[in-house]
Amino acid sequence: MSRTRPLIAVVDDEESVRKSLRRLLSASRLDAITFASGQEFLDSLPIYRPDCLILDLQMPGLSGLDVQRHLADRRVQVPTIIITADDETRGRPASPSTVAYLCKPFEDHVLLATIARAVGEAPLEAPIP
Amino acid sequence: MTRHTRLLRDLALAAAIAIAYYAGSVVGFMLTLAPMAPSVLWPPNAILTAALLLTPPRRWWFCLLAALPAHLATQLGSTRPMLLVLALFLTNCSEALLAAGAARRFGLSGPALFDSLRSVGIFIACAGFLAPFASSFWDAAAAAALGGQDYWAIWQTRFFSNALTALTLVPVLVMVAGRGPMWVRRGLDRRAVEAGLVWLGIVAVGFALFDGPRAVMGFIVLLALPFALLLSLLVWAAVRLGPVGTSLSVLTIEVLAIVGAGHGRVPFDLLSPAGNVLSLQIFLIGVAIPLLCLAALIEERQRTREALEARLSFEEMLSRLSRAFVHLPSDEVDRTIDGWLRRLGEHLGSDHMAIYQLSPVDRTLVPTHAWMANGSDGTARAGGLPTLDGRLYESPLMITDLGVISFGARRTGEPWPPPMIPQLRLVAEVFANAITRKQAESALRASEFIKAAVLGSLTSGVAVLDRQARVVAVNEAWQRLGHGPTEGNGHEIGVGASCAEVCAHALAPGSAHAGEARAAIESVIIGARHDFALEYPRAAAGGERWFSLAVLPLARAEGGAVVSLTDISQRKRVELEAQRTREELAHFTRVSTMGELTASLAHELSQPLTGILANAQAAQRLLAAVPPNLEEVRASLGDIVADDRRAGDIIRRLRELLKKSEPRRVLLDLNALVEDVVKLVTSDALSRSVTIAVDPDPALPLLRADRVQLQQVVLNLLINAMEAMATTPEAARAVFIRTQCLDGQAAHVSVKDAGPGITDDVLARIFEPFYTTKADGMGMGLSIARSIVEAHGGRLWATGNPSGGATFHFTVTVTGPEHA
Repeated sequence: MSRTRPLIAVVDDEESVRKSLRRLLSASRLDAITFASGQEFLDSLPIYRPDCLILDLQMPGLSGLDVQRHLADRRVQVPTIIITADDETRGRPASPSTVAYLCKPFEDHVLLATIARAVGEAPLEAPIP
Repeated sequence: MTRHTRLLRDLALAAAIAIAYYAGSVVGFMLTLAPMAPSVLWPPNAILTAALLLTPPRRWWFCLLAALPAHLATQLGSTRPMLLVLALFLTNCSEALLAAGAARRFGLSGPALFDSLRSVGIFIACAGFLAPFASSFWDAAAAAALGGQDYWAIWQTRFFSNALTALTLVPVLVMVAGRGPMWVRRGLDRRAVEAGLVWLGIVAVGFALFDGPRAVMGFIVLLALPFALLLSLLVWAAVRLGPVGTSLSVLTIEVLAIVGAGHGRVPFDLLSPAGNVLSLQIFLIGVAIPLLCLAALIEERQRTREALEARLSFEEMLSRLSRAFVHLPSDEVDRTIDGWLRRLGEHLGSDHMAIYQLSPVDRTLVPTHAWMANGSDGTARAGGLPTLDGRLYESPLMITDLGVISFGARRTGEPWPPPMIPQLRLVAEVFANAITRKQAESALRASEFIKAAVLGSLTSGVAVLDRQARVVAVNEAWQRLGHGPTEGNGHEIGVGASCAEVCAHALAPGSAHAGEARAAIESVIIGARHDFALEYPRAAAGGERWFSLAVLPLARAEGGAVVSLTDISQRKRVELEAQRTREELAHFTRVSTMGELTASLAHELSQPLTGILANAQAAQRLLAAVPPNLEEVRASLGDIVADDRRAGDIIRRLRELLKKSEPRRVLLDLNALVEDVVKLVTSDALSRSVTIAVDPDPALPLLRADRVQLQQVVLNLLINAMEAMATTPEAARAVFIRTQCLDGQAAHVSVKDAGPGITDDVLARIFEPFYTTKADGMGMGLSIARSIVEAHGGRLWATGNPSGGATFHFTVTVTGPEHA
């Protein structure tokens, strides 16, 4: 079965951020799946392969950059939108899969436009059987 | 007296005796009736007797030896054998020795022999009877054995002749030589005319009687008249001219009678020449003895009266002297002493008077008052020290513990009579008392002056209260500092004011502290409490002023208290200034700390804001959908509210630390406070990869403390702990905070890190201001934290962990709600 709507993964340790983003994405007719930590997300990869990853940078345990490193190691390429509370990290060497940095809090249309860009530009993989 | 002058004096004495003896012998020979008969009047023995009566017994041998050459000289032309001449000298000496020795047995010698009836009686018995009577036996024996003369004739002639000479000549010689020429002159000053008249009368009558023409003598009537005249003249002399005048008068008659008898003219015409002489001698002795006694009696009466008068006048003077100093102001004492020295000196006939005081510095005698008689030579005094030699030694020196008073020497040249010494001592005591009183008054005045000056120079107001809590003394500052009807210039609460007035004066009327201060003053006075101190503000014209009231017991037997009032506005201002500076510094440090946390706080705040924005925009979309999913909209609104509250909390904590507030002690839960601070640094800890664990003690009671200040302490320790672990491996970066209750008395908070720990030299300085180990630190954090903790009655310190890293501890005293 092929999906018609893109699947968006949200990784953030803050519950209120996860909850509100899932609600916003759903209202924008996007499928969203949320994870409370990088490890949880990595563990789910064999099952889910999201079209776009919204990744928090500062988390206890695995940070956002750690997650990107792991994805690169596994050669999994997911267009990633990094969300962060401060803009200090902008200058950091970004992973090639990083589509954009968004500074918290951000506007819904900016997020949705960025997702659209990420999903549209990203090479679509074969649908998961 | 030097040896030289003593030798001169001795030679003069010897010469005087020798000359007198020789002259007396010549006169004696002239008055001898027959060539080989003893003289009618024999002066040499009387001269020897007088010399011995005037000298002390130890020098008698000298006087007798001095007469020997004169005796030998008188006998040069005579045909007497040498042995007889020497024997007669020995009998003469024995007579003088008997007379003077016997008189001395009765304690009499010199002029004192003629002072009273008793002494004249003794003189008559010793010199007028005993000595000539006894010595005539061996004199006659010598003359009979060696000269071949009739024993009894010699004895009889010699006895009467020597007795008469002794009775008439010795008083004159002893008085004149013993009392001195001054005495004679003084006597003549008073009675010269009278004495001259009496003497001329006696000479005239005596001449008429003994030497006048025979024809006149023939008539009994004419004979009786001169005798009567003679007796009255002799009685006159005895009554008015004393023993000396009497003796001289009798002597005159004697000489005239002997001269007359030599010419064969005697009143007693009936007998032989020898019988005439004898009867004349017996007549004169018979006249001389009662007259001498009469003269002595009158002299004694006179002397007693004069002594009484002198004593009365001295006592009157002494009483006036005492009165003069009784109510004398001390500044007039010196002048009065000078005046009285003069009056006393004149009254006593002294040549000078001087007072020497012992110097308190070097204990030497310093002359302070002196008077000198006109014309006195002023040696050994007048500013000089009393050297205690010569006349100064003989003059009465009254020694008190103050110094010495010298009464000088008497201008008559006589020594001070011993009975007068106690009187002079009384005078000295009056002066000593006056000087002592003056010194005491000066000392008292000086000490009062110092006390007044000390009190007056104090800037604090001082009031001295007695046992009845009545004011006995105040200083000028007390009046100035007190609260008056018009501030600063009024309301005298001085001597006699009550304790309540004192309190109203020091504190504003109706002040809440007035009652407390009054009770405290009273309890200090009765000894119930040792001291009391109070600081309070008081409204004043230029704004509020602060005062300090202190009460201390008065350290004296009568008790009482000292209340002092000090304006401490200046000190208070400085204290408040310092406190304000401290608070501003604390605030500044707090703000700096928050600055360091800005990034993590922004992160912390962005989380709820992200949630709020996302939820709100989702809700907009949900409402725009057809049909709108209201269920979901409601859920998102609920989440918005929760997130907003979370953001509000963060801002509240932030604002609490950033705002500048007056220190305020409230009851607070230390565990909650720690939790709040931990939340504040959560983001920071996250960015530093530090985990923070808290172990609160649920038994911790509420504390009365300043919330912001304690938050600052905990925040400071937390950030320090996290910063200390920058080089620690990430997995090991952990801060452990623990609260504990210590015996219910204090709360103990410890913040333990896993850093490199603190070396001892750093530990020693870590709480000093401006000491920092950080590149960008100011070094005030721990210093301020410590002052905050200490202001809360606690302590802040650091220890090393056995497993590495450091632990900072602080305690805060628990003051439970019951103390609120």
